[in-house]
Amino acid sequence: MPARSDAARSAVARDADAALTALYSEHYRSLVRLAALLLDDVGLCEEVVQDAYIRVHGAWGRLQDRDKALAYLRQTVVNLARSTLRRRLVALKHAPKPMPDAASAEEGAYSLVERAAVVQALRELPRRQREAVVLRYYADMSEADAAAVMGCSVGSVKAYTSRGLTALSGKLEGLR
Amino acid sequence: MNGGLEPEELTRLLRAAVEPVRASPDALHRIRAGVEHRAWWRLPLMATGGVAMAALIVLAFVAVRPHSSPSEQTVEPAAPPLVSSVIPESSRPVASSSPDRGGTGSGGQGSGGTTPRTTTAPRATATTTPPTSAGTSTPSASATTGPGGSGSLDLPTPVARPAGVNDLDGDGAPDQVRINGTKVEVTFSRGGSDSVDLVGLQLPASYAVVDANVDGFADLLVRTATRDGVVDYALLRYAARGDLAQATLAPGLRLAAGATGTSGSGFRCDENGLRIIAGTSSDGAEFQIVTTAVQITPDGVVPTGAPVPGQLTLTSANSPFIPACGALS
Repeated sequence: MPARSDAARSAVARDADAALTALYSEHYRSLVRLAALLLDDVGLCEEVVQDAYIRVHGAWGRLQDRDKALAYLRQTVVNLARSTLRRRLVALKHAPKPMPDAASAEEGAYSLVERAAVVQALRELPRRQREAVVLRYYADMSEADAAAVMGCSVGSVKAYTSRGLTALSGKLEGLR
Repeated sequence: MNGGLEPEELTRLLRAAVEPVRASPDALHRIRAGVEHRAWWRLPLMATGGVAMAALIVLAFVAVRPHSSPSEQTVEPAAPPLVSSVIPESSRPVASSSPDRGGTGSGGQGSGGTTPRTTTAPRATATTTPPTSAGTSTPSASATTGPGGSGSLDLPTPVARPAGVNDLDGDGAPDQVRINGTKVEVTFSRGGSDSVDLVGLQLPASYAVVDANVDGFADLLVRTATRDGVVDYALLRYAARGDLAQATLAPGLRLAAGATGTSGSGFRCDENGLRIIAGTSSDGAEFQIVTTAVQITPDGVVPTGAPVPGQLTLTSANSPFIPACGALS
């Protein structure tokens, strides 16, 4: 494999920096919200998304289709969210139990209650169903795109989505 | 089917739920710091990875490289002297044949070359050395010293110098020598037997078993042919365990006895070893003689020093052109 020249490396770095800034301006907040729905801890959302941006920047030179940078970024967010969830599950097994009222101390506004209700219901879903519901109904992705991000078939996305929606309906029935 | 929760309503609920989530003002700064940090560590990590990969390759090479056993390393240095033109078959365990190894080299008038011969085992049954797997090199073998040392590392240590009667293998016990047609066959008391075929062997056979070089291993002096009053001889030696080999003569040497009037040949052996005498004369009475001390080695019969010239008036009583080495039958 021929060695890449310094000039070419500099051009790629400049291109990556520009793309990073553009992607940040357009999609950072939506990606943080996407991560908030996928993760159990909203405080970790920004860390996950920032890590995804850093990885995309590092892989910019290997990215074949620059137009799919957003899709690649979303997939990285989903993958990192999965990894974070796994680590948190392991940590929670060995962590001491938190104080019972520690999580609800700041909840006062209506929007936060609603958010807590749907988010709590979402968090009770299996991971695959949660990902399918969030990608389909929050990120507004097609079944094919959601299947590509989740790394499964379109049929699986359909099944996960249907089951997730049914489960959420039952959980949110009492709130409506 | 979904209990009344429509997809549009779920979308609205989800977006409303995450509406309070805001991006921190220094997010972009953190991302850029992360990019810098990643670039800072990339080079050392790549270098470390390269070093680790190189180390793995080296380890794999060391692990896969064929190892030679210690026994092979010990035997290898001893092998080349044994695999000489004189002893080409020392490593053959049983019943094998070899091509002609050349004539006796008797002054260019060889008494006939050797033809394929038969070697039979067992070998290496000596009590003075540990057994070996192929009957070739043995660690305890000694380089024979003395006036006519054989120089072979494959030879066991002889029990006495000079060797005893008919003791070719140097174990103190006589070996059996037979002439079978043109073949000289020896059954060694150490075990095993070997034979050398002397093509053109003059019959009836005449031979002597004598330790010509006083190395503790008797040699076989065999009359091979008679031409013009000069008798040629071949010298067979114990070359290795169970191996009888013909010693070739260095160029210019002739193991023969007799005189033709203007030239003569003879040899003599005693406690000082073997000497070959060659003489020339213009009148058949006064001879210019040259005496060459020789040694019997794996490479053949070779001079050990400069030829010693001399002059002699030939009489029947003092003729040096005789086979004065052992008692020829």
